[in-house]
Amino acid sequence: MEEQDLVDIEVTHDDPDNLVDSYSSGIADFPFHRQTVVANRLLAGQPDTELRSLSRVDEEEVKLLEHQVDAAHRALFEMDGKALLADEVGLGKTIEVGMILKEMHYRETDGSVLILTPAQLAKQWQGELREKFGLEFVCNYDDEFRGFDAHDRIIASIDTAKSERHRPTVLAREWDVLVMDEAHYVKNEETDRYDLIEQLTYDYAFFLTATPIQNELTDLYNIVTLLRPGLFGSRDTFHQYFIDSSQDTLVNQNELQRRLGQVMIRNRREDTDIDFTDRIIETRTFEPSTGEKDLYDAVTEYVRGAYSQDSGQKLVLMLLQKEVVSSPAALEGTIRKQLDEQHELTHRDELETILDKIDAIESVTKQDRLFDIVEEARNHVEMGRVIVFTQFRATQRQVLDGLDEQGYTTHAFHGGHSSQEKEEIVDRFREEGGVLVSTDAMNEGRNLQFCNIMVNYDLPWNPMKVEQRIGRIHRIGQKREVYVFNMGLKGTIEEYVLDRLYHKIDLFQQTVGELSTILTRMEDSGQSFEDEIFERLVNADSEVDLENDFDSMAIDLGQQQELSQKVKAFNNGVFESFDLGTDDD
Amino acid sequence: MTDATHPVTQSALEAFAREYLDNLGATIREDGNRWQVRLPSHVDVGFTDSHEFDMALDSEQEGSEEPVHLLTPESGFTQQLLDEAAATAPVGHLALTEAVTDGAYRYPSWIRESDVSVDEAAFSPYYDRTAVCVFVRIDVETVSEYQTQFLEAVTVDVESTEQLPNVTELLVTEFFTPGSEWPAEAVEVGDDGGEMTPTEKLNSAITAAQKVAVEGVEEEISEVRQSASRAAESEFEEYRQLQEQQINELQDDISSLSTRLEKLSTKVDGAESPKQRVEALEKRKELKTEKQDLEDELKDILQEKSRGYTQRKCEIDRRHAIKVSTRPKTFTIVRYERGEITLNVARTGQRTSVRAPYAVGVGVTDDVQCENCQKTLSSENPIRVVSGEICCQSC
Repeated sequence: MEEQDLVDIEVTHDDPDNLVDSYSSGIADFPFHRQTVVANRLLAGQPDTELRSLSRVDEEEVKLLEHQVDAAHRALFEMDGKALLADEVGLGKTIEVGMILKEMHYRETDGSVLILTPAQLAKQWQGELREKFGLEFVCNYDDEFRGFDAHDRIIASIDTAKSERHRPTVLAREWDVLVMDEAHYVKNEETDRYDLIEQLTYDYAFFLTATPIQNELTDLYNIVTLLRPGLFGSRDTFHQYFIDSSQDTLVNQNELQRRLGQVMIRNRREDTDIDFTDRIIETRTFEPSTGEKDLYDAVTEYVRGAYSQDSGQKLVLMLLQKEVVSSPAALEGTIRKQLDEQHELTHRDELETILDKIDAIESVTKQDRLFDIVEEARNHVEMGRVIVFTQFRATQRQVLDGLDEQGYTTHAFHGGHSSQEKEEIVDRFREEGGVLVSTDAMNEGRNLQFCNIMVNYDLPWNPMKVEQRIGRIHRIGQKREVYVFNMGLKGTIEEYVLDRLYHKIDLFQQTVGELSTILTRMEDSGQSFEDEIFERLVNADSEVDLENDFDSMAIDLGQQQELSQKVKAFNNGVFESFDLGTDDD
Repeated sequence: MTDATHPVTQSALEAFAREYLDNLGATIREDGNRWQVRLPSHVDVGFTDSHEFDMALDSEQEGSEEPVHLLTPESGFTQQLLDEAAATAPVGHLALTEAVTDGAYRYPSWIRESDVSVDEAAFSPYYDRTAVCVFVRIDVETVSEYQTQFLEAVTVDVESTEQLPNVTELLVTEFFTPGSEWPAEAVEVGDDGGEMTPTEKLNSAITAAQKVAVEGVEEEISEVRQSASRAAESEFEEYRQLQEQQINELQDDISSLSTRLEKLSTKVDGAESPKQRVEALEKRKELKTEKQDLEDELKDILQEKSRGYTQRKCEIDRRHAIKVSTRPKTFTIVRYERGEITLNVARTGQRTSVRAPYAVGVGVTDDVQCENCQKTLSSENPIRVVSGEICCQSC
């Protein structure tokens, strides 16, 4: 703003007469005088129970909700910086921690910060803290990561931190702040993870979980004891006092809640004023052209054969199986690479046949059908904004070329861009509208609520990734209904994954984040979702077999889902009317 | 000037209360988050009626049966306690001697930035000077923001009103280090037979300090000013839009009145009875007046618009103007010694000495010229030792 546009400043100086008069009437002893100076200082200072960095949060990037600010405030000032943030899923626990860290940064009490997360969430944390709170962290997956003694702000997977290589350096430091995401990972005191956290030295700690109790009340004891040793006394005392062992039920619930109130914050969805808009899912499956069907069958047959001979090639084979339903372009790249890199390839002929089949495809069905969706959007939605997600860069290029030819405004987003470029791309998409074709590199805490239509051009075999995609647009702050279009080719693995699995667990209608509890349970039992799908695909002897296999996987998933719902119900039972808001007045 | 504002943390508050009560001669029995306090019978305080009382350090204790004073950052009791303490002894005095600085000298930048090392330093006091260290409260007020407060500490020499930032730093550290004690040294003032500093001089020194204090928060004030200006601008913009809307509405109303008037004229001309004609005429007159009023109103607004609504803009700007007021809250008379410092310096085995005007706690007080070339020594032009002689970088 120019100087001439600024409002005037009027400065007045109070006369020091009164003060000088007290000089004439005598001077107090120094200790009393000192006390007076200190008292004046304290009077001029703000009571230190305000989130002073609040005004520095960029409202464009993050819209803080009342319960989040309240949680950050309580964690910092009422719980002395040691808190278990146990909001129900989807209420923004990461935002609460972001706010806390921002405040600590402002107060310069965050010399060294360690954030431990499940591996798949580390980059997401890094993105969110950067985008929303301007806090820079190094992640253990970054190239510049030089170990736990080389940086002051680190986000790392808990398993990396506990690994033999890093454990000594992690433990050697005195951390100012420890953040532990998905704290139920440390529910079991006999694990290495628990042991690591127990031995870590830190001043402040914030643990996050939506389900503090996964199986039994002891989970809660373990987590809380890490945060506040002694709050519940010894394990035996805790058991005797709070659990009726003969009935295995909870006793002294009020006392349990009172003590938990000193360390735990739990907001429930129904207590907040968050209103999630509706999510409308439309799955469109298309009959593949003869050429595409031919190609799919050839690839599937090749994958089965090659895997039965050499299961060591699993990753490449899995990739081919995913690419064939994404686009011929994606598949072509990997096949050519295989042919170029391995001269003594046993399946050279088969691969070359596949290349021929790719060449034979004249038009790509999914691509043609995508135009229908973007055209509908162009006619009905503000600035025709649509986000199209694909897993592969080659598919992305093909889709972009197709859209460009048709005269659509397009934007490309992939992991090859710098953060600055990514920001600019999102800005341009916001301003110019059109179609943003993105790879899953978009999963980094970016807010795209200004768009409400997304297309899954192909489907990751990991439901978390699907949910993360949807989460880019369907999140707190989205004011319109969200449309999700899933595209799949009939008779392909995509159709199975969509129909048998994702629809079965109601993936597309899961409340934000709820899925992670189901999947954590699955992963805990040592299964990887992607592997399961792949194994079933390659091992089925017939189509009927395949269908049955997928059905049984769906049943497993259903059970995990039921279990996770039971856990949720139990948590709700324990924390029922868990009103921990303390009134200042 | 030094920013002396400080967040009121629970621990800062407890440290203060403990020391304050102790100074009053109270005994405190600390029992976890509860203190039992007993004041000597001769001590009268305003923050409590009783000589024996309990203090609670967290709000959870408040609900207990016995009455308890709550010592937390936002409690009423805390406010009362601080108010009372803040007014108890606003004027103090102390002496800044070598004993206080513990023989540690502040070397000038032309030594610090040079290659020479100081083997030995000796200070010869010539005379005493008086300075005041003033704690100035600054309130920044505007209609669009909460009042912002600062506490700045400024030390100025009473004679010259020259600023002595190093002394401020020394004193602020001293004041705010819990339990620290200034080395006891008799300071002869007033009744003790020493010289009182003339009140006029004190007055002008304190006023000078108040002005300097404002400079210390210029950046913060500028931030407030920017945001107040933005608030004023958006208020004006709102007003401007409202006027635009008003103009449109008036134009619409006028045009609709014109149409009605035209219709009425037809009605007057074609009236079937004199009564109808009179009624129509009356109505026409009424509408004409109404139209004239609206036209006047529109004219006024358009005129105002052509002038860029300057009057309104001035009013809004005036309302959003920033009021900064300063108030000295306490001052400390500081007696300090001025004299000369002799620095024995060495460089690769060559030794010599240099002398400079110096004051305890302040450092070198005046510019020093190179003995060789008469250029002023500074961090950019530090001293050198060549052939056992002092010279400077420029020589």
